Amino acid sequence: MAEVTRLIDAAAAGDRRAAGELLPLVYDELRAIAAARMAQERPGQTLDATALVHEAYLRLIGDQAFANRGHFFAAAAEAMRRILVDAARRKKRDRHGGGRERVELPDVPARDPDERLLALDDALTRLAAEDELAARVVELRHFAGLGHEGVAETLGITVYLARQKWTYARAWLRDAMTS
Amino acid sequence: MSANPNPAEAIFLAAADIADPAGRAALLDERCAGNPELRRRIELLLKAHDAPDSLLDQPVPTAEELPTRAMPVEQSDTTQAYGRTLDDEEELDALAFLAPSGRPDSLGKIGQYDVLEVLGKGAFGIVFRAFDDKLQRVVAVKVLAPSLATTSPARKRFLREARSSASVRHEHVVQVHAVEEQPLPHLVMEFVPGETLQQRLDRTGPLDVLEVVRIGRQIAEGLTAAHATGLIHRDIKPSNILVDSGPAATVKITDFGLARAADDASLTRSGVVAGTPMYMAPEQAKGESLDHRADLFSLGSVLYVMATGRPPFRASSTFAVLKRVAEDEPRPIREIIPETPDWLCRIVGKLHAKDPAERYQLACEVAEVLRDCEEQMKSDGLVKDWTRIPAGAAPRPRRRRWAAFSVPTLLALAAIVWFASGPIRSRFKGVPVDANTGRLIVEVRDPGQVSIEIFNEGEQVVTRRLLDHSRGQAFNDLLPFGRWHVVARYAGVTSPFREVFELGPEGKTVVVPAFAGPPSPTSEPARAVAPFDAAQAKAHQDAWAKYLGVPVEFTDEFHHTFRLIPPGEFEMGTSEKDVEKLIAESLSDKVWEWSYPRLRSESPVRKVRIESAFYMATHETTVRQFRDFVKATGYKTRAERDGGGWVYKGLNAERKPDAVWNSPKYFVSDDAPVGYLVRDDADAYCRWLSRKTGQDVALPTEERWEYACRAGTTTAWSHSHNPDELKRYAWTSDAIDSPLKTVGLRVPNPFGLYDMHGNVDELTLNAAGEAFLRGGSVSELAVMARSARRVPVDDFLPYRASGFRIVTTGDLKKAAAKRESPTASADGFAPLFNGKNLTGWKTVGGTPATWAVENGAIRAAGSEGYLVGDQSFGEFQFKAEVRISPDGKWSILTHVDPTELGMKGKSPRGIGIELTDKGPTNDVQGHRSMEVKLTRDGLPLAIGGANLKPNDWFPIEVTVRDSKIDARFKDGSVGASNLKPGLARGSIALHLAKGNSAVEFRAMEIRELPATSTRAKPDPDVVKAIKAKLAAAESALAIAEARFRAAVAPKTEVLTQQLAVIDVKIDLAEVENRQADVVNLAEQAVKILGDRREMLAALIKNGRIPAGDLIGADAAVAEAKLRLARAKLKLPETKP
Repeated sequence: MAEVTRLIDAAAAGDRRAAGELLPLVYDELRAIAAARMAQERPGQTLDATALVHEAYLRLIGDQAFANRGHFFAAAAEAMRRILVDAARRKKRDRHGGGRERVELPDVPARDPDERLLALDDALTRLAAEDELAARVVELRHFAGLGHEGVAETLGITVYLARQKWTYARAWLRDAMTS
Repeated sequence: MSANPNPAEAIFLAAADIADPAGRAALLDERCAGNPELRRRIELLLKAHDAPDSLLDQPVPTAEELPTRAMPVEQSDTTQAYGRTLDDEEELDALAFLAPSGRPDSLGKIGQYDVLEVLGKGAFGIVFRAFDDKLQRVVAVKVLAPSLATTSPARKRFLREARSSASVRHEHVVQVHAVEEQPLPHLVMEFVPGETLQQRLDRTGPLDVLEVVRIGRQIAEGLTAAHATGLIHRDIKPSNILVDSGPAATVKITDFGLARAADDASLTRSGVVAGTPMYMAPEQAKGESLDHRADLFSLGSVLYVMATGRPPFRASSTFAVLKRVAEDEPRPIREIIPETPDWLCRIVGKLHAKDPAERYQLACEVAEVLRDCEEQMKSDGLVKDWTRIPAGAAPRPRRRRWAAFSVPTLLALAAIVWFASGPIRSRFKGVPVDANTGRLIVEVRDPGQVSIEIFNEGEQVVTRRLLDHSRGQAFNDLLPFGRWHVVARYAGVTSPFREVFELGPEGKTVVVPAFAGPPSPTSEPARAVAPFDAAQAKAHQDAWAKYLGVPVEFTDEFHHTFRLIPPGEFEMGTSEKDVEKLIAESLSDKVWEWSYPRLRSESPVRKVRIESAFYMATHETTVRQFRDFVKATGYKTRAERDGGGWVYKGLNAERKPDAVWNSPKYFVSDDAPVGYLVRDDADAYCRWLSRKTGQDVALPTEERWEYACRAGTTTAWSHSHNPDELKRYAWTSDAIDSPLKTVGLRVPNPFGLYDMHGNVDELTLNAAGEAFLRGGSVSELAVMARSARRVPVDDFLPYRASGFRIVTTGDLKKAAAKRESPTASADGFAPLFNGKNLTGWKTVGGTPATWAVENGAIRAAGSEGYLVGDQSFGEFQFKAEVRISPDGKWSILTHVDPTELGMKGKSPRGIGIELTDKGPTNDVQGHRSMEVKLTRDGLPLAIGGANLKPNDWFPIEVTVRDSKIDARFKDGSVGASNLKPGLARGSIALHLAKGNSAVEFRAMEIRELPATSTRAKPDPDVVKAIKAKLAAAESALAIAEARFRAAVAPKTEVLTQQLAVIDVKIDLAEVENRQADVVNLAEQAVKILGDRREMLAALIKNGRIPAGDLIGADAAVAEAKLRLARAKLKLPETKP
């Protein structure tokens, strides 16, 4: 707990190394929670990424009031994106695996959700090159489940701008993913 | 508005705000003049903006989809699931209260919800599809019509009913997420894409029987959950049943309790009942008071309409319908659809009884019956077993065939008594109710020190508590539905009590029995000769455990849990005929040819006898366990030494250096089975564990494995012949080289072994010592995971799913040694009483009881008095049989100074074992309850008890040794362990403690135990054992602290673990003669216990726990202070 808050404080104070150290911590925690949840949840029940991120927050930071939460969510969004993309990659790889006792698999559907997630990831990277802020907005909203207010708070921008960036980025990404 | 540096973005955003195409075009004309490329770019963005896209519109991807399951590509679009569409005028009216929204595709906002679409209008308001801005999900929002919302009672009732319906969480009930009051009362619900049952019926006409039963069963299940919270729907009808458009076509009930709110409102306005009365119950139609059984009548009507396509009670006017509901029988279903099976008509008939008392009494009963029919129809195509079908179409109270009833039905029937005895809500009075919770009660029958743990599959511990000699309820609260474990550990006994069960709405009572004590030298129980069923499997295990004096289950210090597998006989393998049939039916394709020789090696079937009992690990050895071994020994697996295991790529297998047991790339969870192993690796693990535990740990033989796997079954799998059922029991049929699954998540086999089928392929040995893999793996088909399936170890080992589970001897070696000399322990006993006269005993002056010998027993009667023996004893084992007159009270005193006996107002020093007849017991008819109390110097140490018949002899055995006292009697025991400072040698005295009663003693025997010499030098083995305990306690503390930090455990859990660590540390300090440390530690314990007491006091003040809980805390503080005082006494004099 102390470790994370210390890192977040340091990151808030502009220590880039601290920000770098924060990410793996949050990533590990999220991955562990996600794995545990995957194992626990019954089919049909879903647990959204927002809940995961919030659980990770509780575990790492606890219930205390904490001013610099934004840094945590920024790290969590990036971690969640990596986790989801890794999972999609892994699934894809597993599908193309082969082996000793063969199990028939249905053809990979055309609009495979994993493919789409990977495409989104790709497009998001390209968007970041063109408009970093827009990409961060998407990351926070889509992968950490933050609302416009949360996004604005985390990135230190107005809610209005957060909303504008989202609208723009969404169109940009859809276009990038279809073309 | 901040200046936007990107012109494309700025123009796009401006254009996106304009809904009208002409307006947009005008804007683009103006802003992109002379820049066709920019214009094209913006047009593309606008096109993307307007195109709905599931990926960025839907809520964030869910964790559940991470592992293997595919994300739903596209939600089926909205349908008219919520009733008719509004006409324009109404719609305008309905939208007047919406606040403006910033979202371009939104009609407006209500609270945090962006309204996307009007779905329809119900009896009391408007329903929208909306997007929850905060939680980023699509929801349905139901708004109380503005005209109703102004009426205060309607508004209040709407809010109240809606709030109580929010507590119902069930698969077949539309989840209410939130209830808001402003700007108009509204209700935020789960959005269910699909149609209503009414729309479905309008579209398709009558449904086929299986569909009727399936939907009816789901409605009944949803009602069960709602009724459990005391909520009555009051308006079950096809338009309130939503049918999900997903592949599972799940059915969900909506609008719980809202009918009443709507009724109220309309009655206030017009005096007319709102909505359609066609599905109402007669008591409802007549305006009488109603209970949950009204919903069951309506369910009958819904079944009727599904089967026939028309509602049962139809008439031209509302009033006429009401009259028909109240008085008429509906037209027989078979007159409309002749092929409807009779059993379905009978079920509907019973639900349609005019008198609620003649209907099914509980929704769960209906669900049970329908589920049974559904399963029979699915497997046999028709319902053959009619034991649950009500007799006759016209329901009359009839004698039922009780014997044929299943346990759940009986439970349901038992619950009726509950319901009948009061209003439904009273069942859960004063307890916060959540609909997907059931009540768990844990009762402890053991009078000693018992620790209780309650946890679910995810090891989320609800409670972990230590109960000091407390019989009675250890736990009584509501818990979420699902699989739960209750584990109770008895003080000083290695085998825990464990019960794993599925908690449902009917709740569960777990009884922790008293520890059974040492084995009675009875004759050998029957061997477990297959076939036997699950109950018999358990009975065999219990009988052999009792006979051998070993636990059915135990857990070693390396976290392996083992189950006792009794000796027995079974038929091993698969017959030639069945193998060929399997090949022909499932594996006829040429691609399977390579597997035929392996399959044929399962033949012939031969009878195998398992000579002796053994313990098998309940789980496959996990990565975590294997890591302990590697950490301790530095072992390198074959794969690590030889360039890695095999990884499958396309049709080729390839060795990868990183394909090893601890590779994070291949192992998702530490609690998954360890893989990439060969036999040498598993053998090394077994050798290490044998050394560590002093037991014979080994790989199972093929015979033992298959016998344990089958657990009495003769079917292909240890549950049935049906591969579809395997999903409940095993992980199989995933893609090639799939990740292994966390162990123990599926249902165990009848012997209590998990994952025998599937997950990891398990290494076993045949008679010639060759290794075979058994049980199939997560990547293989169900047919490859049959009980008899065997695969010779080939060149492609190790691969990801090559692992193992172990067998061990446990306490069996010790038990066998003990059985070989069964009389040895009895030998040392000497009689304390010769059965003829009082030689060796004398009465104590001044105590008036009369003591005499009658029929070989010492009898005391009259007033209170003592009889004291001549000899004195230090540490000993004492046995006697006692008989007490009703309401009598009696005690044996040990370690007493005879001169202290009979002194007025002062208890003699020493140990007392006090028996009191407490009068007739409620537990067993005609029995009396006997309290057994241990005291020291007249102060209580522990209390236990047993039931016995009047004038029964009550056997009791008392052992005093090593500063511990342990009293065992008829069906229980009490004990105390803190007899420090040690007891001086003393006499044994008998005490008739109450006048006007009588007591008899006979068969008194005593055996002096060799004095445990003061430990000059600590025994290294003892120190080692305590240190291992300390390590375990410290890791438990670390876990508790982590859980506390994560806000999933209360502070008290941390304190409890801290105390456990201190206790062990005190033991260690005492063994090592570090008295000063003992004092320090004891001081810490007092402080922590004080903190805990304060915390409990605060909880009691807030009404979170009952006040009685403080007594235990106070006692613990007092005991700790006593321990501290004693520890200080022992400090050397030199200390200031």
